[in-house]
Amino acid sequence: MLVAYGAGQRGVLDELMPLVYDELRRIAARYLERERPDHTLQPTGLVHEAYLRLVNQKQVDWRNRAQFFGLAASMMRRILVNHAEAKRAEKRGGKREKIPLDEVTIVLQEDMVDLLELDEALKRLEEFDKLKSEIVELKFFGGLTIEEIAELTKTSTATVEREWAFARGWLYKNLSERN
Amino acid sequence: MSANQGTPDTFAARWQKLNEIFAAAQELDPERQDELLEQACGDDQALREEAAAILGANRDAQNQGFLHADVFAAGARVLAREEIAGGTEIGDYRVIREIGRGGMGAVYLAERTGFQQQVALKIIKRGMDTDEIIRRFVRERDVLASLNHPNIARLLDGGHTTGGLPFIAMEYVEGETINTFCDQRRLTIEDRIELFRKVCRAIAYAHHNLVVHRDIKPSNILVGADGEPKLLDFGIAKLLTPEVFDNPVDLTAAGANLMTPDYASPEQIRGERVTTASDIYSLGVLLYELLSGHRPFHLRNRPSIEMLRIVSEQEPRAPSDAATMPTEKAEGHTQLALTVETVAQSRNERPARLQKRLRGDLDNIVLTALRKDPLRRYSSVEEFSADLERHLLGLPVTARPATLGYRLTKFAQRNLTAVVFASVALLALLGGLSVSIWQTRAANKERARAEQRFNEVRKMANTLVSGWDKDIPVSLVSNQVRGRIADISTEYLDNLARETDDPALLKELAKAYTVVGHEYTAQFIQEEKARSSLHKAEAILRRLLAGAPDDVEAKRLLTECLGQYDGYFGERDRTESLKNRLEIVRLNEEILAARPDDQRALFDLAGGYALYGLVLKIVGRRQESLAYHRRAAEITRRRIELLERTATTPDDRAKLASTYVSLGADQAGDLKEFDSAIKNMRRGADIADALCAENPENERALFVAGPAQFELGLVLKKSGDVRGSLEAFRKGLSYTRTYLARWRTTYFIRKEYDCLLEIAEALHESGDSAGALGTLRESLELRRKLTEVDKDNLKTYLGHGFHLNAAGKLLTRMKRADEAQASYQEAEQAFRRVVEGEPDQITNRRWLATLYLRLGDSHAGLGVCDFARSQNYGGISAYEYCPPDANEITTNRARLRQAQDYYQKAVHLLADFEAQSIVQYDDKENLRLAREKLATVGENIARRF
Repeated sequence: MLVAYGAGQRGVLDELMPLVYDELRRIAARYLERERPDHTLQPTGLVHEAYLRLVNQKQVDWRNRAQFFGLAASMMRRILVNHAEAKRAEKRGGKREKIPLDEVTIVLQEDMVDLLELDEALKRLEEFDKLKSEIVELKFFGGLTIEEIAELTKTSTATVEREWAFARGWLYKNLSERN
Repeated sequence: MSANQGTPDTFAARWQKLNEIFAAAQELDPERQDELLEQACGDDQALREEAAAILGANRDAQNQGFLHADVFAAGARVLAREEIAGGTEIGDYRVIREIGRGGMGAVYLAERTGFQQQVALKIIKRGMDTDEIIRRFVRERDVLASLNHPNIARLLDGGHTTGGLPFIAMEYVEGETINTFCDQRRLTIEDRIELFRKVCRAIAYAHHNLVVHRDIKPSNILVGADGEPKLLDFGIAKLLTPEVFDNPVDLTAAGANLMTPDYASPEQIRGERVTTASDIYSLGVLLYELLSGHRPFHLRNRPSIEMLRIVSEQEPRAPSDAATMPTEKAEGHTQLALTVETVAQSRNERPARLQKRLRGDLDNIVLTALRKDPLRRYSSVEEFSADLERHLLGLPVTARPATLGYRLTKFAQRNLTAVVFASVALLALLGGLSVSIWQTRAANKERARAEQRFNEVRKMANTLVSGWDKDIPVSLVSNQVRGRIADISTEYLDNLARETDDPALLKELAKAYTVVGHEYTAQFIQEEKARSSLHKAEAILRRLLAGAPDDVEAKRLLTECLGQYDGYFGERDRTESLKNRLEIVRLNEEILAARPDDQRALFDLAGGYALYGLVLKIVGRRQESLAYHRRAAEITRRRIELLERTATTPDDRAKLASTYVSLGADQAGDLKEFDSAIKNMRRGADIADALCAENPENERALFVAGPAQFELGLVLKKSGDVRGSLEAFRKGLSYTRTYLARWRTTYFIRKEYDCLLEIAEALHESGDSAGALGTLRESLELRRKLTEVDKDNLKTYLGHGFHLNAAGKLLTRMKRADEAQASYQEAEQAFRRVVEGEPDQITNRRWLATLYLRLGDSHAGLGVCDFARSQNYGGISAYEYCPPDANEITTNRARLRQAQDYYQKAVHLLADFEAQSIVQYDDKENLRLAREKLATVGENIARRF
């Protein structure tokens, strides 16, 4: 959650969740549908489109763009983490003989990321440096550019870049130490 | 460096430093970075290592594309396949298929492994598992666990999915949504109501367990093959705990999406506090739809601002009208297109009969549940349901826009003896009091009926509230009873005011409010209610006049309302008072211009000028006030001319007589045109005499004859003709007693002892001391008797005080000092009672102040001012202070001390007026006199001892 939101807005944000969820689902469907080698469709472009659609519906009084992108990024993170947890539980539970690696796992393996470990590390980072964890969430899970993050967090691109580099280094170091 | 290293302070400082070093080093080449690290970290080897490690890690991460993956693609795939496939095992359950999907969760039909039992599994959707949503989900589980009712789907189990998401297992209800069930089986209105009452039972049960459902709609109520409805989805239910009340959920525009707007109460849509009354509203929408096939409003897909406007302002059509609405687009939940025919068919009725069936009770019941104001809906689901039962049993229902009739009956039962005199008026009305508000807007026939009832209500306001004098002696109706009736009338009027926009009815309302306003200041004092009632009348009339500036009737009512207000509250703010009085004059001028030959308009205008003049005099603008009195006299003369031309009936002749008397009074007052006054009053008195001789039963003639003689007597006395005045007062007394023998009104009861007082004074001035004393005592006896009878009435003590005050003056002149003092003291008790009862009324304190001056004079042995001079101050019965001529103090020390006390009290009261800048009448002069006397008495005491 972005620092910019006061604690009091928490409830409102949660009320908005179903809307963001439905939009994300819609984007996801479109994304997968168009995902062909000849089509390079930027996911961030889609999220922006979704945001505009929500704004235009007028039923929702979005306080700012940050609200939407923040929610979308954190939701994406929870979706992926939950999926990974389910996979891990199946593996441990040994209910099935063999667990075929699904596309999700493949994508993350290429990136050498254990999503659950990353999530844990991010939670720790959030405890003492909230801005860094937010930047990581927006960049990695939300797919936003440095410029967009600077705008949303009301800082400069130089700051975002510096924070991002430090956070990435810190996370990489932490995750490497574990393995 | 890791999160748990070091104390918080040093950790934060180190983290900060690490960031700074990192930022600086990142700009440099790797070899120069070492230099920087060494420089920056000094001896802190650990810090240096940490910084180097992060710098290195960042380089590696970048090279290896760490956190560079397109996770969106991964997330999209998860999302797209989010549905849980059949066969998936969740806890002890095996999913069969998805059966529903809501805001934050999805519902699956599942089977408990190893059992035959089918359940509904509700699981939070992936990504939706925020702390708050999980909390809410767990709360739903707790809510359901606390509810055990045959019409509420039961909670069976709860747990977590392998992914860690919470789920709950609930009783699986195989059935159809309630409206589909009703339509497909073509349930009759009766059957629908019975089914609906079962839903009410479930909701009532939840309410008893402090749970508000907040999302009652057909899709949450399934009816099984056995015909039993089951309530589902307590997803946004809330527990009525103080904590929840203190932190109402922010259901603003965004939150509105959580519920179904068509069924949401206005307060829910506005995001205000939600109580059990919201469920009653939603039940009302449900019943509306079950009965009529339509919803009161269609809110879905409307901009939130419009939604707000509709639910807050628009009144729903009565269900009976909705049922016969022409074709409308088919709703999602029903296969049938909504036409007049299909709606009726699915209720096993013909259209016309369906409308008739719904009209009346059922319309009333549904619309009561749908009121905008939560407090005006049914107070509980049970009450709602019980009303439906009464309807099914053919008993009268309670649903009604106003329940005055019912409440008055109850009230009458509890206060039987007290209201017995009012009951004739009441009982005649009770049958007609159940005015249906919407009828005022309905068809002409209905409207005529509504108007008739409305008139009855107005009559009631008039009869109950001000008709006491004639038919019911004031003393027989307690103030408590009058207060209650005024309260109930107000409530009833408020209900009507909210609903009507018919100018004729609004005028009736304004009139009734004015009467009620008067009532609140007449017998029992409730100033705020009086003010509020009069302001309501004023607001209604001003609104009407803004739309129709030539409405004479509205103008007249406004003058009455402003006059009523000024009569009681005018003394608080004389600037406002002058403004109001001037507006009354202006309005009356306009009315007269519109109706030049209207004697009532002339009468009102003359009164308007006279009262404006009076207020000018009160604020000390005596010279100006005379001009207005002259203008009043002129208008009255015009009225006489008009009546002389037109008055032929005895009643109109009586009116003419009283107009001559008024003209005389105008002239005799501040204008001091005694000759003309006496001439006119004699003319008036003669006409009245002739009318009485013609017909001794003529009430109007008798009503004028007595007071005419009395007024004539006053002017004669003022002009110095004591003998003539004595004759007039005696005649006046005789007429008054004739009148009283038939009609005992307070006004004439008063006139009787007033006449006796004046006669006593006249006798004293004529040298008949014994006759004077006897007459005075007779007068006092009558006055005391009235006070005794009317002892609950505050205003009685004002009259008592005035009379005893006058008696005190006369007794002083009769040289009966002890009796005079006793009389003054009795007056003092009475005035003090009034001051305590109306602590905010200034004038009461003023009378008390002048009484203290008299008491002081009496104890100091100064006497009173003589007969001749007292005429300038209004005569024996006047309240204004006429200082005695004597200034030679002739009394003993004890009495002087008492005099000192009384003067002190007068100074105290009058100085208080000065301090508050509410100096009126002769306050300034009286204060000066009181201070002077106080000093003189003080010196006198000092000198003597």
